[in-house]
Amino acid sequence: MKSPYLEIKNVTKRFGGVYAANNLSLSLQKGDLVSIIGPNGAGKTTLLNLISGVLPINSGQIWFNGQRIDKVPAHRISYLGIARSFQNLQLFNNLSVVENVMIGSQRRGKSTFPEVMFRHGRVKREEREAFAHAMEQLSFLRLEKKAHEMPSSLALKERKLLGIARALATEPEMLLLDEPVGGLALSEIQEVGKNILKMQEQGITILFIEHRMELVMNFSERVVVMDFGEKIAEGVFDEVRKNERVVTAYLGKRINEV
Amino acid sequence: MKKYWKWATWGIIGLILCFGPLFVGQYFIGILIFIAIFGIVAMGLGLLIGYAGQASLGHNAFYGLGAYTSGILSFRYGISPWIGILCGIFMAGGIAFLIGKPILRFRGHMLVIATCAVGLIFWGLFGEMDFITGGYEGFSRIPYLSIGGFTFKRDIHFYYVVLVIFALLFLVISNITKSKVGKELRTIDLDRGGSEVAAETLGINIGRMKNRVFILSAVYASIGGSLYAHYVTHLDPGPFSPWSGFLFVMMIVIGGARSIWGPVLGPAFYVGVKELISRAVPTAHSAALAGYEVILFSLVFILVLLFFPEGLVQVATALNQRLFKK
Repeated sequence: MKSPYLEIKNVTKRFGGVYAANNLSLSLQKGDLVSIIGPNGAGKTTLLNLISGVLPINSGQIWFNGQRIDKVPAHRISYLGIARSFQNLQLFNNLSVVENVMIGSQRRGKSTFPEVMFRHGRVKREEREAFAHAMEQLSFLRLEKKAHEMPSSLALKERKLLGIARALATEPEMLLLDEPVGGLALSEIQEVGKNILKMQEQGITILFIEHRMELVMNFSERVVVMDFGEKIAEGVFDEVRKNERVVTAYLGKRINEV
Repeated sequence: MKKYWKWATWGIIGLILCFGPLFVGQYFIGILIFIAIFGIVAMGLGLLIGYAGQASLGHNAFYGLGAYTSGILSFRYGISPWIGILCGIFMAGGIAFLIGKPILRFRGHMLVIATCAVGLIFWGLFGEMDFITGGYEGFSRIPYLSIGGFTFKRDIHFYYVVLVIFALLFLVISNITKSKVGKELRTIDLDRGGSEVAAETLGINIGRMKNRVFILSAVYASIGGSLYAHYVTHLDPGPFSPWSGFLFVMMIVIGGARSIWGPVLGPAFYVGVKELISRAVPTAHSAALAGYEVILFSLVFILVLLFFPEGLVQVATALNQRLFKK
């Protein structure tokens, strides 16, 4: 059996007495398109934070592409080929749309700090290349017309796509998306979904969290259901939605809250 | 059309800066020299505060380190002032490297206070380590800068040295802000809409970036301090007190923290206001004058910010819009 591309092995993450990840194990193969669903507080976003190095784990291991990454700092994980978007966007509101994406594009440049200080010829050339590369990402997601606007003037769908464009600019092997279509209309969900498929076609492994089942149903190959930091089901959407534990997790909570 | 005006303005400014001083008295040249020296310190600090969004009220420490290193090496050990400036750079840069790592982990108020502490510590050291620094009285007869046989003793000659150094340092900062590094710096400015977590996950090593900018700002401050030493040729802890640490930040903020011109306008404004104060207030005692300076400039600072929150650059931009962008 092929060894997994991303492997989360018995990972535990505690916040005080609360387990955001409780001996959680999960694996993805290269090229997979997997969604994670679960009630609020299940630990989905925490999982993304653990993988991307934003938060440290308490125990267990995370492996990516044959390398152990759970002790690697976030900025280095980015260089290993993992990029992400955020539930609350985390856009650079003080930079224009294209500049946001350039942050991802420009790190491919090799100019050193001294060269930058004296604006060596290579510096200007690499800036032009980064700009062109950023515009490509924007075009891919049909945002190129808004390149010089500020993120605050964009609609929600556009801002979500900008977050994804910025992540794509780092040319990742794997993309983690946190609620890419939260708050969007049905037609917009279709648009984002199609973009996700396009990205998968380019060879990017994709793991996304969502509450909107339209995206989960139609645009992921496999669904993982989490609750209380554990994986309670995994499979195709139709299997999972009938799973008793899953139904209880969603419904059971609502009944308890009444 | 716009570009033509831009080059024309630059040209005129350049001409004025190069040839203007030949026609004015020594008094005005002295003012320009101080504006340039403070401007050099302010430029580096401005990058730290305005672009990276990290506070430092203690840069008097590095200003003083540059001054004392260069002053002591050249006065006491006969080392060339130029080497002295270089040594000052390494001294300030080295210390900034050492204290930067722990300090820059602080955020917000804690960072501000920590930098204040740094400023206090070094001011104290300048005064107390009298076996090296001459203590609170200080020492004099620091050598002037010279090249070949020519000594930059007269204000007008020293002015050109400072002008060239200022221009080079300005160019470097300008290059940095225009580059990818400049953009990366802005991503971590939380007050203005940056996002550290996004920056980290995009591959930016925030800790390292903050350290580097901190070190660069310390180096700039040190160069300013060294130039001060070889101009005034006397050093005592006075100009390197925590007040000057506050003052540098005030200059930047009043000039315009987010603009590359702020650190030029700010010092010009400060020096201008200070001269006016010294005219208006009978200068019976230099200590009393210092007191008035603190009171009045602080007041002016608050007032200017009330009307121009973005600093004096706001005024300049408004003028620019009105005059050139019809």
